[in-house]
Amino acid sequence: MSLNIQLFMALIIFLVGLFNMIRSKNLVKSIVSFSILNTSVIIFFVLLSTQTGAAIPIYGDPLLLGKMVDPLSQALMITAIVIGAASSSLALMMSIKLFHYYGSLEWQDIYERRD
Amino acid sequence: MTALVYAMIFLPLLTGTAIYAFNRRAVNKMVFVLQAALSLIMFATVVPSILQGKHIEPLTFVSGNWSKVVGVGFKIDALSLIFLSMTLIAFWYIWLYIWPNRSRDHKFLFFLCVLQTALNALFTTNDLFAIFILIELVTILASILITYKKDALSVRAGLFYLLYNSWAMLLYLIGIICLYWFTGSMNIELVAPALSQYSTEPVVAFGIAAIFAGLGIKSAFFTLHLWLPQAHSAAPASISAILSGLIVKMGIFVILRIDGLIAITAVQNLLIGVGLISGILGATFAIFQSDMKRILAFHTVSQLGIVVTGIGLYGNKNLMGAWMHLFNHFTFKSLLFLAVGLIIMETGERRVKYIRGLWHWHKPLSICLGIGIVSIMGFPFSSASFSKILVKSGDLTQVVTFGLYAINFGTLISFIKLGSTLFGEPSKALANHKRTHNACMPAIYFITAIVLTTLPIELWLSLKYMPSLQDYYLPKLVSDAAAFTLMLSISMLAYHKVIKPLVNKFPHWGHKDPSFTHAMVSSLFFFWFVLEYFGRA
Repeated sequence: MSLNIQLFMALIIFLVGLFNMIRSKNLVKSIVSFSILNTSVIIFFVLLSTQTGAAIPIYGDPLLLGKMVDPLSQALMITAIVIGAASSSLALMMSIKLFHYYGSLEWQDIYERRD
Repeated sequence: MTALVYAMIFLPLLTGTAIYAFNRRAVNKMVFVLQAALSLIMFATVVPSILQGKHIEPLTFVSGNWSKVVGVGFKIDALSLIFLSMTLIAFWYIWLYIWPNRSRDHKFLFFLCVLQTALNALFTTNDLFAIFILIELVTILASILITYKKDALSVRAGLFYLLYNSWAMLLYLIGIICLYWFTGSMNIELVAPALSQYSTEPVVAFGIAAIFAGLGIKSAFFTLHLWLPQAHSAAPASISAILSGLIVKMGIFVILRIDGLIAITAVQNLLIGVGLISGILGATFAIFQSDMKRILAFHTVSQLGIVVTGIGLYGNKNLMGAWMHLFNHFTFKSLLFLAVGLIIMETGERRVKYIRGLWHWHKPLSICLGIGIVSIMGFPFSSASFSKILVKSGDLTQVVTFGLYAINFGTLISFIKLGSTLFGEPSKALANHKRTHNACMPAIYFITAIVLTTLPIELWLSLKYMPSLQDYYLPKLVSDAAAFTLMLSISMLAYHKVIKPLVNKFPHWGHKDPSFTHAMVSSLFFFWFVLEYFGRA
């Protein structure tokens, strides 16, 4: 598969996440679609730095390897994955709390009850 | 200077870890030792060079001897020193304010210590990706602290804050990926020159637009501010104070930190437009609120509008005014949030019309609240009046002048409303409650003292670094005082004759929190607008 098609697929995943995040009426669905968005951005960035036939950057003498994959983007994206996991797990925990208070996971139910 | 950076980042982290590990009240007292140590280090590094009249030279370095391209860069300049001192002051009043009630709560203290670490690291770093990580860390910690009371309202606000701000940081991440793809580095030192040179390239323009939209949500530009009133009103008082004083300003910090960004003309015009709209509409929404904390929250949007306009005007005086107003807003808004939070804590009453006669109920508190209100209104010779006349300096178009006066007008009206709580006979809500939380007062005295000392220090510093202001201040101050008196009387009249009946007629206008879908759509619309604007420019 050529790189362009892969990038295009990452874009499609992004749009799916965005569409769901805008229209979803359910808290958990919003959080899941946020995770999808996060993943698509990470896939996109990792794909941008790929090169066919290049060496793996973690093994061997860099001077002998010649063409290398950019290691920085992968290192950065590992951090971004960790952060995405942290924020979505915190959000899921809060939604459990909200379910205990309101008995529902719909945004509308949560926002219409005043107390 | 390097020692200052490492101390600011690692000492709070170590203290927080120790507090969490030992879980003893005696160990919890270490936070004050930490604050004293940090203040001492800060004074020792900064004050001598200022007293000698030197300009603070920007210092950049990369940690761990890596090259600039891959290492995490740090930068200390006047901007970071201002924000570091704001963090220091903020944590002084937070520790003083929460100590009587939460001195045994080691988890709360731990989260605050880590928040201090994250803020200090953010204000010294010079790396786009490190900024992303640290803002995301601050977002997570702030949402934990907002929901700390664990009631339904605050968990709701915290979840909204977390999801919406994570989406903002995702936009920012997309933006920095575009810049990385174009320049091959995340270090601002290497990225910034490319920004101004190639700002018309599609990839760079897209990146700037995404960064701008993301930071716009963090700094609560109007239509992107939807998380702010909920979060500020649901959080505990000390957390709302730091949210409004410091955490909201992170976005503006990053806009100022990316050097080449505000030098682009299109960005300047956008900042002026966004700032004026935020200022005017934020003040308008504030007028219609009945909850005291929500009035203050909408005023955060409005006052940040003045700061953003000042940055967009980009003259030397305008920029200095914007920086001064940034600091002034931090001081008086913290004071107002703490004072109002104390009233709410004592009485349980948040609606402004049921609070009357504070003066008879608690004189020191009402003096402090009065000082805060006078400062935010920009009374002549208060600190805000100086920063506002600096923002207004230079050749402004009529629209900008009119907009800035309109913001002042809205501020006056809504703080006449809040100021009316001081006068009259004590209302039922106050008369039925005895004062029990006097132990929180030292924090309020402390921040009041900061509000009062800000003015001479700022005046001295601004005259030192820009001597031409000497001829500028005095005539401007006189005309400003005249204009202020006129505006105050007009707004008094307008409040009693027009606004009050209008608010009584539409008591629920502007009270409903918009849904998450609205928030998402407005952020996408803003992003599209910025993109389109850059495309035209």
